[in-house]
Amino acid sequence: MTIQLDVRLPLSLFRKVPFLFTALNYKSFPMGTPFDYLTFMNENIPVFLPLTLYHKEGNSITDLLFVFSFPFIDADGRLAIYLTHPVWLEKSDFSIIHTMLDELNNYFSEIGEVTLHLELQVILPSTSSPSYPTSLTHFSYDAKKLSDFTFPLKEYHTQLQEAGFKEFSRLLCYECEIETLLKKLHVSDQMLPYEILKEIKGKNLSISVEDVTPSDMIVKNYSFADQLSFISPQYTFEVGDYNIISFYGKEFVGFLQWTPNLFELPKITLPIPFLYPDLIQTHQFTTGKIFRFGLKIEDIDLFKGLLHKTVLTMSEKGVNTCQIGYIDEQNDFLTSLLDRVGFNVIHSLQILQKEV
Amino acid sequence: MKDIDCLIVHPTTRIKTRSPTNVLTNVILPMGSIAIADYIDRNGFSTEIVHTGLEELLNSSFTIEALFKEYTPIVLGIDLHWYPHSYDALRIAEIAQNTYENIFIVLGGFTASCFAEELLKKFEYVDAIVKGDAEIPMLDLLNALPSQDLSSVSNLFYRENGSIKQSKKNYCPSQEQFDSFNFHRISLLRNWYNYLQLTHENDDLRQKLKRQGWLCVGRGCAVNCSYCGGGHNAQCLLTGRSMPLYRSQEKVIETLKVFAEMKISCAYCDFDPFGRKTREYYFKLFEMIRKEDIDISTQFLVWDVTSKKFLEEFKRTFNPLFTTLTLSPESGNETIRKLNKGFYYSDSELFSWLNLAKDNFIPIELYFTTGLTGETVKHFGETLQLGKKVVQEYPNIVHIACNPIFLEPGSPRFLDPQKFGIVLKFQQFVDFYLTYKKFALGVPVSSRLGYETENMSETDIIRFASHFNNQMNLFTQ
Repeated sequence: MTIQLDVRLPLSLFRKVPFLFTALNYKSFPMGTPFDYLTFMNENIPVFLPLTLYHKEGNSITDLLFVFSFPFIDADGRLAIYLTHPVWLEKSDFSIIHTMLDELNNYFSEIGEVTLHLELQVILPSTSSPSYPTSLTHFSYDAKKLSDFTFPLKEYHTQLQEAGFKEFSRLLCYECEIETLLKKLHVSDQMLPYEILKEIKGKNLSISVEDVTPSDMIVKNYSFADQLSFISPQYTFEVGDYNIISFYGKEFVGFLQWTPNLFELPKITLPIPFLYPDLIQTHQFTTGKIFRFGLKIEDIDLFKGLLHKTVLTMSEKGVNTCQIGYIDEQNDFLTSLLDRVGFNVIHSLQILQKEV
Repeated sequence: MKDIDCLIVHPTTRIKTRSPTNVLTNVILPMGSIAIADYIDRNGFSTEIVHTGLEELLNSSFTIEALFKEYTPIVLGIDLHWYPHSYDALRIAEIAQNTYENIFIVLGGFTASCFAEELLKKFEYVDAIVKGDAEIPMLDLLNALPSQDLSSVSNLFYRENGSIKQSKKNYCPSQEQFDSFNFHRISLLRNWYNYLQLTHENDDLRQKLKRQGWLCVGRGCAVNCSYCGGGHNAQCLLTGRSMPLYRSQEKVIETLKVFAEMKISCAYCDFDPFGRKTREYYFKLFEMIRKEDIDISTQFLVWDVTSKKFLEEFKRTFNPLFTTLTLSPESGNETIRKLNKGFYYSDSELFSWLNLAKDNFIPIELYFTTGLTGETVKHFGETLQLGKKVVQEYPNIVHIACNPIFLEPGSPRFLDPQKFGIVLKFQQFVDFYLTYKKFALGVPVSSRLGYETENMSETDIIRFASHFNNQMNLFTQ
């Protein structure tokens, strides 16, 4: 049986595991047109490649495995590929992962050495559903739906270790009820030397990675093309209800950004919910997720102040559950704080890495 | 050398630029080529289709000369459906005549049909033209060649004893004949899988998210747009078809099933010949797609605004991943729209339709043009305003663009330029041929569009379209 790699996004993927696409150039997605390119060693490489492993017999094609891939230039100036959780399109032997990796190597071999980063979704036995976003990229799978179309995690680990992957980091998503948070985040947490603002008329805040501390651990490690990832070296956002920022005097000291859980929108809006902003405005969401944050200094009171203001804003909008992700497991400052105020881990991302 | 009865070649247009590689445009294969190849192949004549642009993309050293060293065909068929292939089709024919000692070269398609006599008069290496639909004439031709009597081949213009003859037999497929053709046997195209991987209606040859298949739903049109070479009158003139002809829904379903098997994710569908007057055909087709559980997206072009029911049924039927609906209001001015389009709708009808599409969560593509009959700078300003307004009010518009009209052979304005207020710069086939020859050689051309209007120069027509697109880009950023 000959198995090959193809650049395309199968329809069956969307039927099996619904996903959201929320990059800035989301409008080009329904037209299926190519995405922007990054230039590396005089080669133009798409910043986004949907990779499908398939088997062809005559006119009949059977799709086997799928990953989204995001080529990017890493901090050392080398080409790296970030791969999302591999999704089974047809049940097959675990060794198919090796075929996928071999084909990937072949695909990129003309360009030279690449580092592979693979994101694995770990759904913990909980009644909670991971809220949007569920990936470091702008492709978020409905993580709860993944379990039927994926190998057991243990198998992934075995196969990927065999293939030379090592665990690079483990990123956690926490959840807590808004009611609990409002009780635990005391009044004294709200007003500190820092001024918490959420509205500065007409102001766009531009922050570079260097402006914030390693509290946002993942920012440090990935700097994808701006529009394809939440993690970019520089981001600009409008200050408002979804972006809570803090100043000390005139100096910017920290921010939290949150989003309603777009998976709660009617399925009809998938996979491009941003085409329907009116619906996002009017829909009553039950869960909100803090998905990006940065602090200039690791100050517990500062973070709690920002969190309190965020939770209040969520509450005003009728949201009753707050999630926050993705926090590096080794970030003691945040993990211990979140534990203390009542958050529980409901989902995690394991990032494995391999130098090819 | 492979002996073959019929080799069908698609002559991709090549444009020479300053970069070392040529630009390949108009890469889409006419859907009829597949039906022709399938029909003659099923009737016992070995057939293959070669797409010259695809071959060039896959192998940078590809040449027509090298291709002809691989095959020894009895008949060489070259599609000259769209006028941008005018030069390349003839270039390939000339190489074939110089390569093979004994070859019969036949051209077909709308452009070839429009200029059948001129082609035979001016290009001696062309042996025949099929004017109009070609499936059965091509089979007739293969059967007739051994006897050298071509008078029995329907729709054929050919040479006999130094003069140009037209066969007396006319053919335009009946419903039964039309339904006997298969438009999905794409495996007759060499490197068909790569064709599916790369082709897209916007000529962008890079790999992309979706895989597009070209769905034949029917032929013909009930109306005449001023600029269209495939309208009702052109169809009557070139093919003898007086009424649009649909493929039966069962045959379309058969094609869609093959598409799904080939993992084609998006069916491109551009056939709406009666507009809102009747779309009953589609209601039945949509129902059958749902019943057969065919999972596919569509890029669906409607030629007129639709009813609420149509949008609801449409939304229920297709996988939303790559599904869009396309409408072309052409102008922001209602009078100009009415003057030029066979299907007229007012701004208010357009907005009502856009509202319905928004309510039904359907992504929309909108197209405008410049160079319309009667259009002035003021009218273009209204087009620009309308573009800005819809982009602002309808976030479900995923693409908006304005393209200058190119002169289409057989269009009402080509046949009667004075009536449509235009001055022709291309009047005969050779004008199209020489223009595309210059493009291929990288030589400046005196006209790109082939006309100018009473109110706008060719430069203005191109400049305004470009201005519209720049403004929309700025506006959507």
